[in-house]
Amino acid sequence: MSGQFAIETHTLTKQFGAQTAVNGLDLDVPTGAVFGFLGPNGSGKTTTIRMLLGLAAASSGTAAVLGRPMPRELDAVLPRVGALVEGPAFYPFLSGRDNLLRLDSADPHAPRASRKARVGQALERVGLSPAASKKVKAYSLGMKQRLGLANALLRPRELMVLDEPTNGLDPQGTREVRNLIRSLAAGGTTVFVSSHLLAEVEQICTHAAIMRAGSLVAQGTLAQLRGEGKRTATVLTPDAGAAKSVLARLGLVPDAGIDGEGVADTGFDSTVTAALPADHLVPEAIVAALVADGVRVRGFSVDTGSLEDRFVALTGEGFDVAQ
Amino acid sequence: MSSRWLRWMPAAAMPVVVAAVVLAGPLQATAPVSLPAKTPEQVMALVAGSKVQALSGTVAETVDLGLPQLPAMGAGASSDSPSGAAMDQLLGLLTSPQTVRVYLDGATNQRVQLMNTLAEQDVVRHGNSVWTYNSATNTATSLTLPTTAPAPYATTPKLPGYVGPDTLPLASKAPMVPTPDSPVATPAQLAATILSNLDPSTDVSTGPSLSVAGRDAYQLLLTPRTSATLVGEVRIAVDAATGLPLSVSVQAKGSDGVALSVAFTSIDLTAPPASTFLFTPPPGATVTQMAVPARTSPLKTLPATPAGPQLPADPTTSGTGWATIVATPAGSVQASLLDSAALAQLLQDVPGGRVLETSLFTALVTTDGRLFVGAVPLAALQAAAASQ
Amino acid sequence: MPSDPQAADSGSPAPTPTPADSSPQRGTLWPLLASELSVLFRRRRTAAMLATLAAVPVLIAVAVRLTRSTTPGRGPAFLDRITENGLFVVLTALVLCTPLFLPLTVGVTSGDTVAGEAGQGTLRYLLVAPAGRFRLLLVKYVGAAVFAVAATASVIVAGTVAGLLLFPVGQVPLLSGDVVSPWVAEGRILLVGAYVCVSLLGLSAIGLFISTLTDVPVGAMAATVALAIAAQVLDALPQLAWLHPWLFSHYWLGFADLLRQPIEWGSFGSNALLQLGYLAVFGAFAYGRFATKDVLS
Ligand SMILES: Nc1ncnc2c1ncn2[C@@H]1O[C@H](COP(=O)(O)OP(=O)(O)OP(=O)(O)O)[C@@H](O)[C@H]1O
Ligand SMILES: [Mg+2]
Repeated sequence: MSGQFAIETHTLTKQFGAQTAVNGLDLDVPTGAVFGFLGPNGSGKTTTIRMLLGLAAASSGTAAVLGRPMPRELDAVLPRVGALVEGPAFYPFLSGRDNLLRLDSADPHAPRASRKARVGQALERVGLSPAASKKVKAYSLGMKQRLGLANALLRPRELMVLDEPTNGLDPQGTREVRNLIRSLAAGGTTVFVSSHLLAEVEQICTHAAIMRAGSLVAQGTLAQLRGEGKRTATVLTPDAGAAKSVLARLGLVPDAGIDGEGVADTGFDSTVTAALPADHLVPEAIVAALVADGVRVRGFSVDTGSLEDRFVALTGEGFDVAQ
Repeated sequence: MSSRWLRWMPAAAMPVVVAAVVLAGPLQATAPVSLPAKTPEQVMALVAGSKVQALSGTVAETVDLGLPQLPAMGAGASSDSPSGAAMDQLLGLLTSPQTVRVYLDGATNQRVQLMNTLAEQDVVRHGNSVWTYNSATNTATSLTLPTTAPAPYATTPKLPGYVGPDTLPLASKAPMVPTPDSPVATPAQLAATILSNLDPSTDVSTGPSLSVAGRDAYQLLLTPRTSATLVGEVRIAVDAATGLPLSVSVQAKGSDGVALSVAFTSIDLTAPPASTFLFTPPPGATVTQMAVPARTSPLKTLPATPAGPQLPADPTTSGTGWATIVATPAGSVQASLLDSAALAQLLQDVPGGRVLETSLFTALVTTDGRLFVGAVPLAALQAAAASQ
Repeated sequence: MPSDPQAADSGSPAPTPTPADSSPQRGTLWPLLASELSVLFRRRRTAAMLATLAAVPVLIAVAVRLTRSTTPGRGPAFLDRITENGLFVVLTALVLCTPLFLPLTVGVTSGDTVAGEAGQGTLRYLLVAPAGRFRLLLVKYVGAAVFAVAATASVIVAGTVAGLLLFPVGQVPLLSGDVVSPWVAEGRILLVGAYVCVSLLGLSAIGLFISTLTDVPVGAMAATVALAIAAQVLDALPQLAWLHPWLFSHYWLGFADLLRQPIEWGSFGSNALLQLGYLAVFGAFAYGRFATKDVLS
């Protein structure tokens, strides 16, 4: 494979009039990685993907895909890339199969002899074979999404660029997509997947990047991203009040709970959580202090921060989209 | 991005290329032609000695008389009365360009095709038999010329629907008047008429040689010596090889543009196939047989304008040469002639009548129905009307 | 770390990304063109337009057959000849369709070329395939041109059939009054068809260009059709005589020159050159626009 990075951008910028949709993006997607591209709505994920695929021209900066500069060597690069961009789009009056045949014949590199067979395989792979002859206008959202994935799978690819691939899929479909991505990665394909579903990204990705209002705010391996977040100590106990005061004495700040005191009353047992600074005392010391004070500890865990925490910490709590 | 601009290159270049090609065509056509020098007399002798008997060619006629322009008149013109419709047609000829195909072979084989949009009017002469055909109405007329018919150039029959100087009281005695005779006139016919009427009131010189319909040609320039006429200059292109006039154009005084031009756009001096002159009316056509009254030119007898204007009493003339004014007696212009809606737009009311003013000629209809026509300004006509 | 127990036995065979096993059949336009044509002609809209065009001569033939009264010189050219000769059905239909119905359908098809794909979102998938912007534009134009041929053929075939069925066919008079055999006349009609097809090439190029300007296909269609009508209005204004030879619609009705005896080829040539000029200029504009356009739909 060509080089270390499947996708490499340097100060990639896209402006729509006065608005900067993507701002000085330096993205490095290692070859072979499953790369999660995260960001709130309107943060510039799809715009970045458009630039990577040569659909939109960058206002400034450079991008290289599979080691080749884009969009200059677009014709050489794109046959090796499978893509799903901002949802699927098809000819509603054609069947699923005919849609794939059409898109495959648009690729001058695609061997004609194997076209039918490849289309059949791709449909099979996304579980659409039974509906292959149905007109796309009769497809459900999830079926269209599957067909879009099938289109990306028409040929063996070195890079898959998937913009929100699980959008609209049922739980089975979501799981299949996860499996698909894993199997692609196992075969050596680099997968670049944009998503809002952090849990999903956590399950399948090896690397991730987080966008916020057009700028990259973090990127690295999943471990790195999580590690940079805070750890949390969680105590499961019926003596919530006592536990809280012990934690406070130890210099921890219990999180605001439902009752505003860092205590969630769940019947008999309550959970008390507190952020655990990296250089703070070891967890067993906390348990020892709780037990010494007579708190009935029924459970204790230390969680490294979830990606979600990290995501929210980096992109803000606010619900409104940027701009 | 420079590559972005590069992709606009074809879009920037293509209009330039197209414009260059478009401009190169006329440039080539107007490229100077070098021919051995000839005096005006030698060129006129060349015309007189022309032996061209057979040709097929396309003649383009353009008219720009400075008339207010009328909306294109399609089928079903505005006027209801037949003479009004005929007048509309005449005015159409006056204001829009015409393309005519001409086939000649010897003195008595002629075919003229006036090519209209989606229609055609034909006049076919074979020996003494003449057919006219109008595809728009699917009508044909047949007549047999008296054996004493004059020479072809003078006798080319008029097209059906024709209203012209010989059906109007605009006698051919004033050939310098730019008559709407042009629908069937080849440059050769027109030039012959003009040259045969030359008199000392005209200064004849030669202009730079030029190329017409792909043939090298001498150019004769005829300039009226009098300032009393509207005609500025007449130019005649004469084929250097055969002496055949290839184009005639008339300029109005004080104007750079061509007011009237009749020119071959293509010409082939080989004889057309004999079948060209053999005409049988198509099945379904309405055929009319016409008798030819003795001693009358066939021109005036064609059933072109079935209910057209009647020929007025013999016209009188005053003035000489280019400034000749033709007049008809009182009552000779019928009101129906002025029914044409299109004509109504062109006529202006002036003291003593209504006038049609063009850059080359003026026509005045007095309130008592007299008509004065001449290649002269309105004032001259009014003076003539007042003095008679 | 949570994990999916099913992940390992996911069953999907791993692809083998051999670096572009593409034996790049470079420059092969045919598969894409074939696909474009099949998509175009499988659309119900295309079929409806062709059927509408075919209905024009049929309606004319039936109406004339039922009324049987035609006044020479009234109505569209050739209408009064139909009762004598069925082949005039085609010509009457072409006189009616050339200024109106044919530009309408060609405007719809050519205006839809790029904007339709953009509005539908399929444009981005074609480009990512990668179809190549120039190739795609070329194929789209050829598709629009093929539609123009099909539209003209639709009128001619329907007209010929209706004429043959409802009216007698004999010697056919030409505009010059000479008659030719029905076979020669049908040959002339095919020439007229070729002329009409050529006439529509310029409009197709204009439609293609307009289509690259927008993602709203209806807008591009409407603009193209409006231009076709505007050109004909301008062509009827004598004040703009200088402009007339440059209007793409100027020679549209010049097909009658092929019905003269002998055939007048002048307008065919002028028309072809004019349309070629429009094709070159608007084709280049379309390329400039499309090759630099951000596909954001
Ligand atoms: N065609 C366009 N014209 C103008 N602005 C645009 C256009 N497309 C996108 N934008 C702007 O660019 C920014 C980034 O949009 P983009 O579609 O890349 O977001 P995204 O991260 O993909 O969002 P989502 O998660 O909702 O898909 C947004 O602020 C959006 O308003
Ligand atoms: Mg998006």
